[in-house]
Amino acid sequence: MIEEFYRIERRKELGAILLLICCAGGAILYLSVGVVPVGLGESFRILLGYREGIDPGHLLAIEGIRLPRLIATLLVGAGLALSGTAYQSLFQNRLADPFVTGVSAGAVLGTTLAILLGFSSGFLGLGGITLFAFLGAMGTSLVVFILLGVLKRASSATILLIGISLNFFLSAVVSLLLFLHRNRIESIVLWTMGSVASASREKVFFALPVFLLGVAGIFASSRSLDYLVLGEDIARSHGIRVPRVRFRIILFASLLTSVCVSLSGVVGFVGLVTPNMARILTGTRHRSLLVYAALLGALFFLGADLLAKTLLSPSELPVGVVTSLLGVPVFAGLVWKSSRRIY
Amino acid sequence: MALLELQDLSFSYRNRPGVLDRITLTVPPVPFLSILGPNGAGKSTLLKILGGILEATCGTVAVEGVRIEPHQDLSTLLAYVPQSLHLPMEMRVIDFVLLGRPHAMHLTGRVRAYDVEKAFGALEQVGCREFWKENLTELSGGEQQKVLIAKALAQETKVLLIDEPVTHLDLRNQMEVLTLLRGLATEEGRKIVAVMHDVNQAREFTDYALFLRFGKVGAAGPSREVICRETVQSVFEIGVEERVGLFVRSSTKTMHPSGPLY
Amino acid sequence: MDLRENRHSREKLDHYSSLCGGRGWSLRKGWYAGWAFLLLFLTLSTGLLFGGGKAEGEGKLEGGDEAQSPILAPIIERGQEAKGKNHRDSSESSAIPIGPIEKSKPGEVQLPLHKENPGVDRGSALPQALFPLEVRDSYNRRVRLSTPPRRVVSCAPNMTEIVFYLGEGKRIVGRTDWCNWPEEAQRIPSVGGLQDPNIERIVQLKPDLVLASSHFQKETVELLESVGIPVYVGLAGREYEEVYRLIRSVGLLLGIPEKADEKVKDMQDQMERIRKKTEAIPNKPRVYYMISFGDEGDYTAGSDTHIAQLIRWAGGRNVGDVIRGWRFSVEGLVKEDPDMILVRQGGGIPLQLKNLSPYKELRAVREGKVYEIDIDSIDRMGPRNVEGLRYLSKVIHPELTLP
Repeated sequence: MIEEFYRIERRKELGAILLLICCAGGAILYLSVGVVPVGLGESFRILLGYREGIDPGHLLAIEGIRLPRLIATLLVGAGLALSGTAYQSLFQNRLADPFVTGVSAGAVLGTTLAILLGFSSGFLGLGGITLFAFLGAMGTSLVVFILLGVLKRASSATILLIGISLNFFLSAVVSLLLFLHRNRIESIVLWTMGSVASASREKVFFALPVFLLGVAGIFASSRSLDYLVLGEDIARSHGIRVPRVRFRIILFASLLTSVCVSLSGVVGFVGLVTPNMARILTGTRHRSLLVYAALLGALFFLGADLLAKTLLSPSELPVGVVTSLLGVPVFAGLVWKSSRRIY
Repeated sequence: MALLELQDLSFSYRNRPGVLDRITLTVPPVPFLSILGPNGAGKSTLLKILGGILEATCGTVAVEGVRIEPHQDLSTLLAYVPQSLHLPMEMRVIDFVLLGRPHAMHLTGRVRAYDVEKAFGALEQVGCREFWKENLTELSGGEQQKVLIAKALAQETKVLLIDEPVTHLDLRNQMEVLTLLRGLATEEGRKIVAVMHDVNQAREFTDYALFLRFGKVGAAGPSREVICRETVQSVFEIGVEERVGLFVRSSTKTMHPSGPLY
Repeated sequence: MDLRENRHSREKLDHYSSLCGGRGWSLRKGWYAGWAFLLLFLTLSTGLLFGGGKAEGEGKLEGGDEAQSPILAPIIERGQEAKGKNHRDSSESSAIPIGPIEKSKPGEVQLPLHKENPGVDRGSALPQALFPLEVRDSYNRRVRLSTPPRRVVSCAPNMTEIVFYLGEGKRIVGRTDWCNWPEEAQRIPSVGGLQDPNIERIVQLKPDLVLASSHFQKETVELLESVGIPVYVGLAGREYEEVYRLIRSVGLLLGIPEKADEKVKDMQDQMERIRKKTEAIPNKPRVYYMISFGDEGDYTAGSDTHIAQLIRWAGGRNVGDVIRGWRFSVEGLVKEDPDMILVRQGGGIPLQLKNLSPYKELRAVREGKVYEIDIDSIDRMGPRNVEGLRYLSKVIHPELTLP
């Protein structure tokens, strides 16, 4: 029996490596597909740093458009998957997603304010919308923390209720603002549908450290998450300071979600479906679960964005639409066979 | 060294005052202690305070001479087994038991062989080794309880705190689990503290009994002595008769007509 | 628990509260703080925006705030194509198609036209002989007028402009917030926005006719008809011919069909003249009409829009011709690498493009060939398109001298 146990462990590791290879392959595919006809060989040469004999249009396409967009896609996919996993374990609920604490509504509010107040240009080439979306998202987390801090000993249920209330409240505020400025509805609605099309070098440059911080924080909490899944009492019996750990996890998960939402708008299903898929493949031990979730999320989102940018070329679909369409059958399948395990 | 030392221990929930009311008590080092009493008497609360899960409102607690403060990692001293597990996702039995070994994981995420051995060993002890691959939530009640105990065993602690181990099990499983616990207490040199409901079982299997009533100690003493007609009547405020009847034991052939109380 | 225990508990609660410090107050503090914060947040954001008003010159360039709904349009359009609907008549410009859409048959009258009627002036010498008349609008609805309309409410900026162009601006008693040309129009009381005009105000003004375009909701039409107010919804689509047809229809409705013919001919002549001049120029730069960019998505005028038509007539090649509808992509823009980019005035967009990647690498941006234009005369389908065309031609071919 013990041998079988180890065999399964090895299989899981191989699976992770396989996922990594798929991600790499997907990334290469992603870089070589697009409106500008850049050949595979040429894309490689550009990536490796050659500049002679390269058409500046192609250079711009690869370096300036597709590469940042690729990085943004991988970031968003992995980030949403990770924070979705963290929330599902924290709240002991398979249906939790990264937006359960109201962060997405905050981001939409931030974007709305940016568009309506005319801050679309922003600074440092970041784009006001990106900045405001991030601030709106983190601001909402701040409100959550303040509310939690003053209500001592808040339970998971309380946090979820706060999140739901914030979602409703902030959405209502956004609706009100949209109603007063009906002519701008379209921009805002489109942004909320989700799109990575406006990823740029600067945005990725600023997003990367925040992203890495969030990822580090979540991974550092993997042991706590392992116990939190079993319930507050068992976690406490293992010496885990539940309120403090909860705060930490929500902080880092919110950071991740905020970065993702500011890059891509509100993209549904990635953060909900991917953790469940990962759990089917590798179980609840968070060290490996988080890795699987991140890889699966990146892969899923990569595929979705690939479809979004090629289906109606040279036009584009909002990627949030694609993830929802793809996500529904996957989700239905997961729900149908609820206690499936592969490992 | 006493098993338990409680000094002026009090506890209140936010909306329920006086769950435990200034309890001062010393329990001698017995292998198997049972905590009995009517519902709402504070049994589970006391157990949780012992486990460092709840923080006492006032007073001090010491287990095996160690002061219990919350927020410590007591998982090498005490192992807590809850009444039931609400697991919304699938988890393998072996993964669950491995959680009892907090240092099982390398930095790389691989599980240490030593800990895997211990985990399987714990499953062996409770007789559930064949189930290691099953989903925890798909096991029967008795098997689940045994797995919970296995995890606690895997922690290799001196003390096991168990909240109502057999309340929801059928007769056979009840006997199996109680016999298992008895065996652990006697042979392995562990100390077990269990919250129980059945006074007959407590009398039969445990060494020392503590009766709680409305947050105060109703009675305390060696099980065979203190679990008697008068104590049970006054603690539970019910009529009690002594009768001779069937008392089930799982594997031992001897039947003690030891006067079960209904 | 019996009564004894309840008393016990209360005593105990007091006892414990005093012993170990009360917890009630900090809880209440928390609730108040949380609510105060949320209330503050709400007040701040609403307050900030009531001051904002309708943000002019900010954010994206709108492909026609009245007639066109560029963003929603292509999605609807494709949906209709998928359903195989026959929509030759400008479904692209209707955000919410109201009914069966067929080619309009304006001028379907029951009485012969009297071509010798003089031009109209409100209150005098209205050509009664034309009336009563029945016309079909762009949705094939019957619009019946028994007498020449004296009081007209215009619910679309291009309609307002058409009426003024025909010299009958005096008859307009109500307009939308967006109707800002000519100057006199702004002095007319407003009935509200495009999609949701204030129906009560319209009714209050007692109009004989309501002129509307896209954005007008079916419910509003039905409501107005139910109180006996005739509504004419006029749309113009891909072929520029339809704009002329629209002007003629409005002329007919107002009872001045000959004047309308005259004016239309005038427009056509002017457009022709400009077109001839630009046609002669061999070099036709590639023009990108940038409706929005960056975070707001890349939108331009597709091959089936009237804007594309205008650009062609102005002697340019519309980069957006590779798509139909409005939605483009930044990579497409990079690939097409236009010679010049047209953006809306206000908001400092050329500067923004210089600082935003990947736009800053575009040739047109680097060479400074990003031109701000006034979009109203181009977006709104109506008489001002002449001005728009002239403007476009000058921008695209600055060396041109135009009549």
